[in-house]
Amino acid sequence: MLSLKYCPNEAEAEDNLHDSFIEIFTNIKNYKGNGSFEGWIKRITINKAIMRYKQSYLLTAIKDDFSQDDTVNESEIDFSLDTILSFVQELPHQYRLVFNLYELDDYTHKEIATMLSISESTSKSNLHRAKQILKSKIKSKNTFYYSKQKNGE
Amino acid sequence: MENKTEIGKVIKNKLDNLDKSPSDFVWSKIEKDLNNKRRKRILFWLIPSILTVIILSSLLYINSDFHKENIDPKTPSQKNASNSTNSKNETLPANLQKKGSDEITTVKKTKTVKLVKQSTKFVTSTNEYEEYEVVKKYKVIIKKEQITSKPIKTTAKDPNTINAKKPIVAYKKGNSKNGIAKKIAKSSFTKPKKTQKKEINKISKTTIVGNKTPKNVILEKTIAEKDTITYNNFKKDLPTSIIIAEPKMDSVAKKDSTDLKKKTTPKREYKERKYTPQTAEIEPEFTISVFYGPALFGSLNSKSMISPRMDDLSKSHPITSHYGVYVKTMFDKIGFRGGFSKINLKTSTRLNQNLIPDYTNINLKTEINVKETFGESNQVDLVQNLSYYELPLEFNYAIKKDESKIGIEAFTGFSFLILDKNKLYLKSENVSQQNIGEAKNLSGANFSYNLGLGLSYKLTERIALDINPLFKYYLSTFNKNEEAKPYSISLQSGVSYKF
Repeated sequence: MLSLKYCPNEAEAEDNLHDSFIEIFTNIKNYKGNGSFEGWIKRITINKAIMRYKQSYLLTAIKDDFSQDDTVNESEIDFSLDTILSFVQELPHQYRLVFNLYELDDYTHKEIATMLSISESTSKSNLHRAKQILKSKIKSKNTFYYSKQKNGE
Repeated sequence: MENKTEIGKVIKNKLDNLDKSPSDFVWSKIEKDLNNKRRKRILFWLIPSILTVIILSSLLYINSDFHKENIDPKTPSQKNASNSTNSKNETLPANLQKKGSDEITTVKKTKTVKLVKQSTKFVTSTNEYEEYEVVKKYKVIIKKEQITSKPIKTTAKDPNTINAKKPIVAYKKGNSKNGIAKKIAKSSFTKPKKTQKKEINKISKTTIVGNKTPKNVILEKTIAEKDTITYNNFKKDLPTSIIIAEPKMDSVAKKDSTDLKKKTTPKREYKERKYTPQTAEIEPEFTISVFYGPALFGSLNSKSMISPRMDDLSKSHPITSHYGVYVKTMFDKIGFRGGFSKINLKTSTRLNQNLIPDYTNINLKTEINVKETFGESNQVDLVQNLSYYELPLEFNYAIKKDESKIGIEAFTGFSFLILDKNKLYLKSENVSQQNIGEAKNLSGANFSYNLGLGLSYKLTERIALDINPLFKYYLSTFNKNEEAKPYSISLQSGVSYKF
């Protein structure tokens, strides 16, 4: 599930999981027992995904104003879990990484900045952009859904 | 009815339902198993280190006995001198000072460093970090000895010298508040001698309650180290290769992020990834083996082990036995082997008409009259029969270790041997065996250098047949200087069981 959230599709998630397990088995002797084993595995899997996507695209900086609304009406997001997951997976790589790390795995912007070798403000900007994209996806999906209902299909 | 919620939280709540994590029991079991493996690794080093300590301590013990025997009783002063040196202390280079026109004062310093206190203090904790403050407190004692080269008659009468025999322990200042020892920056002492003042001033961070004219001064120095160690719960354990530092760049995706068209899932492209060949996680292997085999005993230079006068006589090497148990730990291709065994050794010397030419090294049984019993025999052999209990410690290297059934190892090491049987026999065509006494020139404990080859044939995954040709060269067989260089060759054959 963790790999699915961090990768754009199932096939790449499988690859990521595979690579993560190789890393885990190779380095299991380095696990000193500090922290939970589960957390250690999780961290390796996330890092593998970061390695996979943070180098994939050359990214250019933009200045965002964060004034736009990041909230959504809960009733608007009444989709299947697969659909919600696909929204996240379809995000551009870096947006997806930042969104997952910050929102789903509770890392701070400072930590994300270190992990992805970007600045903190870039991390914040990427998160905001990710949310905007998700919001617009949800909106368009709803419009499509309601229009279908309206047309009696 | 607007019920606005932050989009990230909504998605998190929804996706949390997808998570299916194994129960806590599974994780705790995995962690327990990992701990067991860690314990195994400790055991792997424990066995050889215990054996090494035993062998080294016995070697030291034997050497010290040997040394005592060899010391000339006419030189007791040297003996005292050697005893007085403290091996644990670090001796600092001696300083030479000219005192007056003729006197030369040598200041010898001995430094001892000891960890006095170590405390760990919990500072903060977040989800990702636990921060501790670790304080280490060392005690450094520098002992100064002044040796004046010019002999002074009144040394015993001089009250200063009497005082000097009592070392003055310095007063130590420490602030234990917050658990952190303060570095002592000030030094204060009363009326030290000029010559010492110079020396003491060189040592900063010390406090000395001085004596008027101390000759031996012990300085105490307290060093407080304040280390702040940040324990990261699990980041610390991660392989460093995972996070690669890159030049910082502000970034946003090249792709048009507002493209909302549903993309079809791209075809899975096969990408050939080259993984660096990784060896599987190495677990120590424990093997126990039992062996029995023939052994031959002789001298490399063909000299007699009983008397130099028998060097030229012809010698034969009857086959004896060598048997015991080995415990072996292998860590991939490298390992250690220790155990317990008994080795019987025998050499036979064909005597001429003079029979035994020299009885210096023979403790003869009183009731034996050799000439009467064997005088008329033509073929008289003097047989020396020895047996040792052996504690070997060997280093193993696997030359061939793979999936095939045959394995080859080389091993080398040392054995500590304790003399068990020491007998001398005479035998002839008429008398099968007559015990005449024992050799006097043998030491009770012996060491041997071992070199061998281990050949094994796997019967099952756990059980294997072993044949180990082994050469042993005995290092301290005799309690006198003998020219003979005893060795033995044995062929250990047995069965081993891998745990």
